[in-house]
Amino acid sequence: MFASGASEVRERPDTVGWRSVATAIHSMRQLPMPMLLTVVSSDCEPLWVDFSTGRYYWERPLTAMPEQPGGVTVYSQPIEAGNPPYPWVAWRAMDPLLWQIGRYAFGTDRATWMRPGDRYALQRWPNLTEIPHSTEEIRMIATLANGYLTAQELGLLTGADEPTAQRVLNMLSLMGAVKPAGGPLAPPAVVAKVQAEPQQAAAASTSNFGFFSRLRDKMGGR
Amino acid sequence: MSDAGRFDPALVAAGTAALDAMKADSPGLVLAVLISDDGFEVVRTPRMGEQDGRFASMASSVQALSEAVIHELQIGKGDAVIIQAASGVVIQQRVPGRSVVLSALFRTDESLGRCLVGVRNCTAALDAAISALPSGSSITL
Amino acid sequence: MAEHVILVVGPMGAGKTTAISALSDIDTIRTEAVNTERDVVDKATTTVALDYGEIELSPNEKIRLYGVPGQKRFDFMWSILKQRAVGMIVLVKNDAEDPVGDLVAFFDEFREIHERGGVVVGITHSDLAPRPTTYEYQQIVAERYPSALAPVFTVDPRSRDQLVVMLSVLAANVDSRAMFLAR
Repeated sequence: MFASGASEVRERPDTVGWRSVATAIHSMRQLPMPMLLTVVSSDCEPLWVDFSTGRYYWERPLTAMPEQPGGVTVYSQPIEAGNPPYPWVAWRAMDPLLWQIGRYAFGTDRATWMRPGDRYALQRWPNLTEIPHSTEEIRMIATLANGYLTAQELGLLTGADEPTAQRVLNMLSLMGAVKPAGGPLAPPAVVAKVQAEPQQAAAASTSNFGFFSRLRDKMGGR
Repeated sequence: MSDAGRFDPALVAAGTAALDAMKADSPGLVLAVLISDDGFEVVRTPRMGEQDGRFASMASSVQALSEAVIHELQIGKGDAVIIQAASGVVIQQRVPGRSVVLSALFRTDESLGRCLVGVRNCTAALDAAISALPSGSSITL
Repeated sequence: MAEHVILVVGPMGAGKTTAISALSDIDTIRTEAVNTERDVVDKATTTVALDYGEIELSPNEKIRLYGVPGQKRFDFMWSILKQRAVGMIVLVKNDAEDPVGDLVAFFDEFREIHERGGVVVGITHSDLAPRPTTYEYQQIVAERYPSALAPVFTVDPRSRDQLVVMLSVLAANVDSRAMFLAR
């Protein structure tokens, strides 16, 4: 799973803060059996993530999530299918939690399970009415909905810098909202077109999203 | 599709009587349908004819759109909607103050004035009949 | 004058009229009638022709929002209104008897709009009925329409902010699709 980039893993071990949680979540998503993840931190309440129903429980609101939690330990345990744990607590949909963890876990570095140069496309939209997001992030997600792109190409088409595009790919990947291309794939024609005229790339990214930009200007939104 | 079963039988009876009277007075009448505001048929004359409720739904939309235009242009109280075509004239009129509308199709050999008078007389008769019903207040707008 | 026609579709009681009012710059034009189907949806009035609202993006550019009646018996209005639409917002009431069936029915009926533009699905009343989840709806859409990647969001049709997100996503999708199709 961490085949390429193994040296980076050694330099920045995945045992720190949200990075370790994100890595555990990503691994656990691949498992076929229902699992419960418990995250204990020295400065936060326990966090439970139930993968069987796609929900989490945390006493703390996500707006109060620390960027760097202290002393994080992650526990996982199999749970019984069809018998969700702790039915008396107010579970919430998992997307907003994963979006936020994905934002903090790797910053603008590539997530440890992603390989450089891989192309990704959107496979489901995150529930954006429940998730704090920027105008730039909507633009990037909509772009991924129409083709397989690397972080560099995603930035090129949307006017974002590559690290920012990488962070969005990290967040979407942690949520299971993007899929990697199955094998080598040529870039979409639009990428070559924009690459051919690099001096116009920024202007192209704006004009390509004219309707959207004018709507955001009118209705508000970051 | 007649939706008469969903309405008060007394309203259906009053509607039947009023529409039959209009038919007797208006030789050029081809079809008259009493509809609820939300597009269901209360009663029609003649009893045969279109059975899928489409005309009732369309008449309801036409009535609502025409009243929206009247409201938008602030041109007072609505009276009749007239759709004049090569082979027929449709006239619609709300039963005054009620949530039911009369829609009638006439042949073109009937003068427009006579058609309008026939529709007005019928809606007036319907208003009087509904007022006399115990359930009349539930058909008020 | 550039115009973008966007339809708001969905079954009776899903919140279409409310949503258009929340988004529109102008007083909306409504065609509401007394609802005699209280046994189906317990609300006093229902739209029988259309709702209309506008968003002025510039003196030369408008979004025209049309709400369609939710009942199948008004499908002639659907045919009229869908001709010029570039996109649509589908609202589905999660506490309805068969919300998935409602979504599929409207998706089928208005599929040509998705094919030429964009679609965004809004799930209303999810506070009263948490399931199906947005994830489950997306799976159903993906299975039934493999080429469609429809965003599915929970939405309160009274919330302008949430509706702006939906409309923004629709616009971004329309732009993005055009960018990829451009030669």
